[in-house]
Amino acid sequence: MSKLTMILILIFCGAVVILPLWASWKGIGESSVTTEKDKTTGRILYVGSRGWVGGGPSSGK
Amino acid sequence: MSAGTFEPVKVEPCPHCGYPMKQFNPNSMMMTCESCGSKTGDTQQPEYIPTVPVNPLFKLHEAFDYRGDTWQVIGCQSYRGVVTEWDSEDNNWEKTPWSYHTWWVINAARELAWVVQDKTGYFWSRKGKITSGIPEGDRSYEIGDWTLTSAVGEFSYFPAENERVKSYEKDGKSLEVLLDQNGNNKEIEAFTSQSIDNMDLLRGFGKIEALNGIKRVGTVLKVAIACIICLVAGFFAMMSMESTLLEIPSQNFNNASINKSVDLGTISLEESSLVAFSFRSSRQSRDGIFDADVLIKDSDNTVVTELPVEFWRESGRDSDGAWTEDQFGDAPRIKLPAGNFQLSLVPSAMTNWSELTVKGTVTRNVVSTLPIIVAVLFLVLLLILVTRKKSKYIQKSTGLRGK
Repeated sequence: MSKLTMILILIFCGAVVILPLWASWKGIGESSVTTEKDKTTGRILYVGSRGWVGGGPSSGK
Repeated sequence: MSAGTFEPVKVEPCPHCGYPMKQFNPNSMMMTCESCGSKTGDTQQPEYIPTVPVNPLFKLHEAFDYRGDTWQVIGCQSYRGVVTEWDSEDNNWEKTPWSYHTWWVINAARELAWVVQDKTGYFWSRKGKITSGIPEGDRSYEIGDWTLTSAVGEFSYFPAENERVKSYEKDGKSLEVLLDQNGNNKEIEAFTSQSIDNMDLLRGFGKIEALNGIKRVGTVLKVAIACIICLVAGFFAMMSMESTLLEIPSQNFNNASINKSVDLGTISLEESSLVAFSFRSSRQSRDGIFDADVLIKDSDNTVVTELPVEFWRESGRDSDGAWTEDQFGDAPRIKLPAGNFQLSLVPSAMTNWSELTVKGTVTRNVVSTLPIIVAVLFLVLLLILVTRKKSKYIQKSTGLRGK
């Protein structure tokens, strides 16, 4: 196996194994709430975002 | 590399064109001139030159290694016909159109063997001993009715024009009955055959490039399988890092609880984390619905988010009879920032049920399954595609499909 093939396989493994595991650990694709500071009042604001599959902070019923 | 060819036992000029006809089998009775296509006994040159079927491996006089011996192709016969086999489900004989080639091969000791090629693969065939009579009507045999369509090379008998052969095959053993012009048995021979591994065949013919290509495809397959194993192992390893933040004791809810907030406790997150709120309710024997929201507030009593929780039971009757569906567990999840949070449950609706008991668990470092599912699906798709590509590549390299 050539060096280039090895590098390509490692990049492939990185893309197909490391990235999904990292994304799972980071909760990527799930609903989330992040904080932002209001520049005028200085208050903390909570910003919600929906996940990739339904649900979410403001989905309601 | 493929093996070199043998020295012919006899070289005679073609009576029609003078081309030196090489004979490799001392027992051959019929020869075909490679130049003009004349066969032994022909009184004049044929109108067209018969050729062996196009095959990336087997060619007239091509040598190959198999089972520790070197073999050389000396002829090829092509047959077309019908295979009849007993269908135990339909309780009837089933006929399938079929065709095959028989490659005549010889080794240095001038021993004959045959490589039978059909659309399912290659089979190594040697002569066997006749141990039984013709199994006429025996349902365990596959019966073939064949007509010779082409014979090129040298043969140890005279293949007749449109020669007809009847075969009885079972468990790699076959009886082949050569028929005369009136359809009567002329000669009976027994053969034993074994499937040839395509890789052995490629190795035998010295097809290094094809072997390397298949090896490379095999490496990709192994890497894809290893990636799936790593993903699953990584998923379980990450799941072991989940930790319980809060056990929510059993709480009773009834119609009077609607829109009244019930305190569940507080949680503290040192860093942003995916948090799962898993709830289970007592099972109900009647149909009904319970809707609630998990209200999450920060230490300043500011609402951070609301998560819906729902329990329900439905039942009915259809053509299959009575059915019941229910959901007495719900686990919404959300990625929360670092901080201290107060949790409460606010029921918003409760129909048909008089009382419901709910308990739950809040867990942090929950693993998101979606990226792993997407990656595994991608790898499974890659596995399917690569397996198909490997199979097609092998078939193409061995001449079993395509050109």
